[in-house]
Amino acid sequence: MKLQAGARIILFAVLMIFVSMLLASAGAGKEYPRKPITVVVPWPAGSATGIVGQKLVNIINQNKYLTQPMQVIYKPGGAGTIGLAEVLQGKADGYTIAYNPSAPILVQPLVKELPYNHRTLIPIIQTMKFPWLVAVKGDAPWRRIQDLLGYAREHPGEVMVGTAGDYTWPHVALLQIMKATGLKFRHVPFQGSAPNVTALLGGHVPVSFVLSGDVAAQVSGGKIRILASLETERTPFAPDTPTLKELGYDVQGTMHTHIVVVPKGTPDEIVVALHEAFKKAIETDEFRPFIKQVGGTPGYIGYKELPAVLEASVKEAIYLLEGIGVKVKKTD
Amino acid sequence: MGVVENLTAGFFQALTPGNLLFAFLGVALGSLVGVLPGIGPLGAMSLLLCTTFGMSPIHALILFAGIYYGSMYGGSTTSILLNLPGESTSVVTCIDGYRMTQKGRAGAALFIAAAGSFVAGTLSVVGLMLFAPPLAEIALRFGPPEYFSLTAVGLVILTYISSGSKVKAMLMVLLGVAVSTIGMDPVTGDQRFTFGILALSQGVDFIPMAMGLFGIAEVLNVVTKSSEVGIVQSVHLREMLPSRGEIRRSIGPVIRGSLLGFLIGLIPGPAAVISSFTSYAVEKRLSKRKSEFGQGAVEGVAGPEAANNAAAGGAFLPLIALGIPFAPPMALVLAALLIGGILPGPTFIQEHPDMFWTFIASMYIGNLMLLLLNLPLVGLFVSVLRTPTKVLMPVVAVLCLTGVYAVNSSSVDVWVLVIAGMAGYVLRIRGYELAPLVLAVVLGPKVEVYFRQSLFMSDGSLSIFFHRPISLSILLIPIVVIIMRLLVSRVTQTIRGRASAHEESG
Repeated sequence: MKLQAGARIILFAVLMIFVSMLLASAGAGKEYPRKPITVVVPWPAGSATGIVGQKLVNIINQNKYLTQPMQVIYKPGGAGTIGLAEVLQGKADGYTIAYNPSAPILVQPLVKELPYNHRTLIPIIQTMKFPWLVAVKGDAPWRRIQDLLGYAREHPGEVMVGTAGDYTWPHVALLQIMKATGLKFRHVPFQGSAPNVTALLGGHVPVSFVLSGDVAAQVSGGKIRILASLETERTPFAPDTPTLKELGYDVQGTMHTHIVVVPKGTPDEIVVALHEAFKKAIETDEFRPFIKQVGGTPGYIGYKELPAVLEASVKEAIYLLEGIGVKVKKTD
Repeated sequence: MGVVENLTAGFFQALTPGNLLFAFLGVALGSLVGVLPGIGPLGAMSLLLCTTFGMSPIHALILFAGIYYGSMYGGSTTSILLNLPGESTSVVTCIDGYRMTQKGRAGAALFIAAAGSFVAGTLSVVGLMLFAPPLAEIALRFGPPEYFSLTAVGLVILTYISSGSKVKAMLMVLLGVAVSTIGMDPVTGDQRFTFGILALSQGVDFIPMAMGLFGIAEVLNVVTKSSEVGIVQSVHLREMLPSRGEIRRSIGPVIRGSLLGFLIGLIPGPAAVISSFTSYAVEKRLSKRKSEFGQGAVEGVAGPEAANNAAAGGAFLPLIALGIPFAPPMALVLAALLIGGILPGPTFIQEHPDMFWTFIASMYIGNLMLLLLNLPLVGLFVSVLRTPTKVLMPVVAVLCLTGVYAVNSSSVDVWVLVIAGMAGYVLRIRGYELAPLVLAVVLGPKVEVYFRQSLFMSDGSLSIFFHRPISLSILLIPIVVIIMRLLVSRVTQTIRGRASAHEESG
């Protein structure tokens, strides 16, 4: 049947619209991510957080768990708060995310003026846990933690303890120890682990609280010795060293984990996509021995359970801090 | 002898096509980012970090090392030609380098900078090769009190490098330190002077400040002077090369700068920056032509350029010998090594001697490549100046504006650039020097952090700076220098007084 010119045009137009809708929905199937994703690590490049974050990103890129590459950028400063604050104040479009230890999320908003807190972000996945350890120089006179504590008893207020920063987990742990043992130590905050370890090696501080990942090479080289674990369980990294808890001190350990976060308001499908990518990465055969190598333990928690876990952790942190006598701000 | 054998083996490895390629890539990239104001070696390395997985660790190491010391070569180019420092380490080169350009000696300045950098780079690799472990131990003896003394004395030295009024220079240093406090407190993270502007919590960055104070201000300066202003540049090859006199005058500064730079480079923090202006101050002190400094003295280019390259070499030492990165670019080198599966630590040299020696050999080769790359380009760079000013200045301005935004995509940076540009223009008319200001912005935060850490260590007592021998010696340096100057002038006066009395009576 021969169509009139006008009808032909209309048919053509309808066809075009139909085809373009098909194409658009096919194009819409090409959803997040559409361009490379920036992963901000708010710590220096060689830090434990940096190493693990970089490793995970590499695994994701290598196995193409996401259709676009991820790129790590290091933004140290403010004991982990500056880089994190920047990400959380950015666009909630999933293209700038943070790979973060938990202290800047759980602890520091309670004691400082920060433009975010644990409720203004979406936690995507918790990847692993790290133990904080008591470390001394390899040639230090103390062979056991009890020796160190005895020395501190005889020299109150003199023994310096280096940590990775103000109100980071090691600092909180130190406050716990001081309360539990009644001993006075001197806290020296460094900007991250590298200066902390350097100062320990140089003999400028006699004791440092470190992460296993920061000192792995030094320990195997004999330059640093681990005296105790600050956590509630012994760590596979140094299985012969006791925890302070088992020695009878009420030290609850740190809640030091790594969490991937995005700003509040990030769409759900982006959260899911990121969660899937990271979850696959931590389950690979490449990552599991890597965790052991850096002295950590697996600790997966997904995005569905994390907000509740964070709430509980914050409550615990408040209780901890108030118990030590630290003034805690009210969270809304 | 162990060293010669090892080094020969290293060279055999370093000269393989793969390693050569990465060395070349590294130094070429490094030169490029050094020349381009805005992006620096840190930025380049961050961007390339994810490309290093899959690379063998030695390739990654050679690449990143090449970028780092290559950027020290490139950074001087824009400083000399356009008074625009590409890196914080080339700020001091602007002072005399640009004056040399204005006198028609741009080619000579570029040549001396490249040659000096080559000598310094090579010497620092020698130092790294021979003295890594013992020097690392010495570097460890420096703790926060020593870092404070070093950077605080550095601030004092800053006032000395200006050729104008010392009081004005001191004012600039103080202003720089004040500006550096804007942002988050480095220890606690509390906000300071941000007036609620969230973007300011990152603080005022060096790049926009330097590009504003030097680049934009210079553009404004040239534009407001007579419209006839053009920079006369010779085209003859002979005049592009340094004269014999200039070469002779540069030898001492280069040697001294290399030594100074390498030693200071062992210390964490802004070592390369400190070594550059310390070298300048030393050369000014030792020169018989003090008045020429600030007017185009070739020593003011040779010394600092050698120093910053040597410091780049020295910066590797703590990483290689201890496994600890002392500066942000070193942290990225560490990250690259980790990606390659190598965890550098105190036993790195023992466990991976092949890597170590290949790396050393590759650095020699890299320095040579840089020399061969940069020297022929001198003519090319100088010809840039033949562009008529009315074209060149707008290009520089646009380059600054876009370059600054390209670094962080932050509009605050652009504002800083513009405000710094206007401030720089006004300050220069009033006779204030800008180098002390911008370098104080770099040093300020460090001085503060080290001071506070030291006080944490001493539980608030200031005596910690004086009880420790190294810290005390560093702090005494300016005092000793002042006393010596007073003594020397007293003695000279007395001698002269006696001599003239002798003549009169004789």
